[in-house]
Amino acid sequence: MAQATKPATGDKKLKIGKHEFTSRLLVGTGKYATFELMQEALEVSGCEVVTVALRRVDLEAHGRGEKNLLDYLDTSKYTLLPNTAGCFNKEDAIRICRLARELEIGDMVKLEVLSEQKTLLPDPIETLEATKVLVAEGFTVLAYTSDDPIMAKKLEDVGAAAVMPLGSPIGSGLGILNPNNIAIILEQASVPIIVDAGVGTASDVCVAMELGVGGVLLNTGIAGAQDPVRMARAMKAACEAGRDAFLSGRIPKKRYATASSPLKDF
Amino acid sequence: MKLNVNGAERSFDSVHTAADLLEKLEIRRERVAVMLNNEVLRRANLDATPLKDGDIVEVITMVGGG
Repeated sequence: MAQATKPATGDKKLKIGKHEFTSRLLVGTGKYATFELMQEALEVSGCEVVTVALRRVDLEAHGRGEKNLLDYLDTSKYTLLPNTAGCFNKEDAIRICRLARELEIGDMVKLEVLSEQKTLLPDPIETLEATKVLVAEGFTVLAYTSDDPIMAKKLEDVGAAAVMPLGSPIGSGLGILNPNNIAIILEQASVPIIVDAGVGTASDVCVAMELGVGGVLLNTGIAGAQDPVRMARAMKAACEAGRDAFLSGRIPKKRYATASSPLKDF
Repeated sequence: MKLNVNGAERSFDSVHTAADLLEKLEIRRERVAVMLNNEVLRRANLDATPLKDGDIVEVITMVGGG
């Protein structure tokens, strides 16, 4: 068994509501070719939080004795984060969260209310309304939203424990399309900001972490890679590199050169 | 008794409660959440929730997702 990721020297933990995590990479469990591959990729990624979706039990497969996701997830090791993926209105999303509560996997939910099928972009207004209801019911809400600083602040104001702006559309692999917006969101936030969606490769994770986000949540970037396990390792390294770079305090950007070596006394 | 379970009509003998239905389907209750006619049932109430002819039951579990 791999050890949990060591925090960078002097780093604090990622705190979401009352939950604390050392790893800042949150990883999805969807779209792996096999459960075994998923298991290995999760292990190598060093993640402590894994997202799951809620769906009908496939009664025929169950009748045949087929294994399911839960047979492959060590719930003593991973914190499960149920999502409301596939919900296009607040009522459905709230219902999914209540179902998740009955599964007794904790109080954290990834609230995701989408607007339409083509872009899968979030519906921020429905998300905001659902957040209010879920917070009142005691959920720790991680709210997936667009990269809009105004909406991010509103979600925080109604009690979201973490706000999760997208980097780019779900599964697009386009990376962080508006780093400036993410930076503004970070500047005004007092809850963790976790970039969720759009991560295509390791550098995308690194860019997000260098901006100072609390963490990155991804799924397709690992599951869809030709070698998901190797990509999981890359994502872990990128997450740690980006975090360290952020904590280190980068040099300012300048238009002109500054010599690294002395220019006199040849 | 005829029930609509996860979108399919099925007939069941000697099923009286939500807990009975799970047992009949050989599903461990700690792995699922149950909705009855669009209302989420509390797990603690499964034994005490009667089912009647024509009820719509959804048995929900966790699957891979992002």
